Amino acid sequence: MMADLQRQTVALNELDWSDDRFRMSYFRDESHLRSSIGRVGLLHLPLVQVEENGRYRIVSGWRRLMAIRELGWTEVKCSVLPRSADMLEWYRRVLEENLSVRELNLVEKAHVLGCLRGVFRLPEDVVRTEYLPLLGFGRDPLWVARLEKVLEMAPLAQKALAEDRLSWEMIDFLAKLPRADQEAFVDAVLQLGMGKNRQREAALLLSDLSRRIEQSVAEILSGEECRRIVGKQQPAGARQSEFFAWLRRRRYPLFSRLEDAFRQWVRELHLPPNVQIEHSPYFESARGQVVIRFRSAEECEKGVRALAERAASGQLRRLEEFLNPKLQEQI
Amino acid sequence: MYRRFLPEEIWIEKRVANHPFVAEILGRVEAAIPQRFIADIGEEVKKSSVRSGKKVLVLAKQEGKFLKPCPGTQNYVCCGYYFINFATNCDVGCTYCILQGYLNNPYMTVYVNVEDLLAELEKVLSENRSFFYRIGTGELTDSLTLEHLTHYSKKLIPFFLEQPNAVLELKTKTTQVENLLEFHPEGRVVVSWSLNPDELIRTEEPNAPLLAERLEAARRCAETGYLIGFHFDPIIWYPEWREGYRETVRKIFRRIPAEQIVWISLGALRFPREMDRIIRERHSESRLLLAELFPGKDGKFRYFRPLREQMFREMVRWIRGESEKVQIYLCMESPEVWRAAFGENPLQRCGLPRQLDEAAFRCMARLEARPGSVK
Repeated sequence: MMADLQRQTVALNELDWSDDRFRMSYFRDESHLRSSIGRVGLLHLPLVQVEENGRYRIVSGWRRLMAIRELGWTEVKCSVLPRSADMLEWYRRVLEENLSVRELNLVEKAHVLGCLRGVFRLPEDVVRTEYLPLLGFGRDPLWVARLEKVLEMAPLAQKALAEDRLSWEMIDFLAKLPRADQEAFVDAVLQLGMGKNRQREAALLLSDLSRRIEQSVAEILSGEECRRIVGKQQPAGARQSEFFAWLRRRRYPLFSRLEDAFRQWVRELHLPPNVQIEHSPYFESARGQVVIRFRSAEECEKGVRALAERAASGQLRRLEEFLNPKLQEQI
Repeated sequence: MYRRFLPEEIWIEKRVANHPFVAEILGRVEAAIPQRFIADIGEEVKKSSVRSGKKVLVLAKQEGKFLKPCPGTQNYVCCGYYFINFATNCDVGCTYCILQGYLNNPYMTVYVNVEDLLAELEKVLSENRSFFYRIGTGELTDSLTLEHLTHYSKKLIPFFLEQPNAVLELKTKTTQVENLLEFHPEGRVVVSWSLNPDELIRTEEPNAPLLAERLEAARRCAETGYLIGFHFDPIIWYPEWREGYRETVRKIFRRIPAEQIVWISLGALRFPREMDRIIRERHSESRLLLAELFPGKDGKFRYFRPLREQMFREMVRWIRGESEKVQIYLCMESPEVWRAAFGENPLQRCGLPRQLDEAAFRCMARLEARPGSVK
């Protein structure tokens, strides 16, 4: 098989840059490679194949070739494959070689799968049993479909996946959305620096809200209030908390309205900080509770007195609204 | 659209292979349907990788007890119901069906040792004559969905007609009532339908008969002398729920004489936490999860309390607008919600089980007093 190979100098303008069927590198920082080639030249030759029209299809070495193009080279020595070469075998060798020296990112793995299915027309079971384990996915058939979805995603989503700033769990969620929604979601995730659990939570809240109010995810996220929160000059953690509070209020408006009214009422009682009044979880039962924390008899007495005063002035009567709440409107 | 369950394969436990009920059931299916003999359905489930189960009919032996009390749910009022576990699983395929997350056996399974079932019932009922039992068969399956294959009702109804201290409730969404029409139940048997407005049937119960079809089946049963029950369970919130449910209530009373309706239950959508994932995975188009649902006192997700109280209040008002007397009860709800729904807590007078027993007695008495009733 190695006899197929010929070493040959190829002009860069003879390379068919539009044919990226075998390309395996995506979303990688080229600056280090570029400066290295600039200093010591190209040690490992790119692999190309002669096309019918006499131009050259890049089989391996996209990053190196892009780097030397940017460095202003006009020609490069390549290993050249004839048109008759067994390209599946060569592709597999290139893949194995790549995997032995670096971890492919998720988008690169998706492109490998896309090539195997789209260019070589391999049946799904062959991909699943022979190639998925090689790519680190076991033999889970769900990954075949999932990686195919990655290739259809908006560039920003692909970049975030490649850089591992977006959880792979978001693939199925994002794949159901139009590209504008994907971009808006990923942009919010990146700006707010959401970890993977938060991404999952945001996806669930947004997809439910979007269906509930019949607005697209992009429309929801482009709202004035949301943009104000995301763009605030505050640490990501604080903006995230505010973002989720805002999102939950929109997703659960009935509960949030009642919760806000309750918190407002408690604030207006001006109770000492060691006295707390709580409603039942989600207002599910008519049982509330009062908690008085104390480290001395005096602190305890203070708490009890404060409550007794509020009771005597009738301020606690409004509790009934929160123990057995009624909806004001017909829902 | 509703289609009767037709198995693509039948598995028969070896220990019941020669049971006459097995031969009876096999006589009603096409001979070409493949049959497989298995040692034990429990073991088969463990080693099987096929999880759909909807098209396999398993004929098995019930090793445990057939009759069980409804487990109820912690901190909510229970009606003291009993159920007969004569079959498990359901082919109707409703999006909200709790069986999706509840059963570890995914196959339609019928327990054929009916003689053990009847002996167990006989023993329990005769030993507790002072206790009145309301017993259903629709807990782990739809009571009538396999009726065309099993004719199970023909074995149960004659038995219950002889029992002084029990009433049988067959709970269904189907229209498979032909076998029932052969009897003169005179109030000893309740046939009940789980109902929803057609908009919801189309989206959340896509394999079930439409409302008019269910009500027509109910009408035929009422005409034959059955007590009729209706279960609005689950009541599902959707933007037009008021119009949908109000019209459904109207349609009931247009088709079925109020004096033959033994009870109407109301239960709002509720499900254990793991069902959220199942519904999202299996029924991604369903709108069930879009309302405001929160964990209740038993950990199950329920509609925000003021919302479901509003729904119950309206339902009670609409039903009361049609009939002052029909027994209405809430399924698995807290005393707070009962109070909100009925304006007072009707359970203070007497407990829910007693109220339902009395409702059954009242209805039976009305049917017996009907001119032309068989004594």
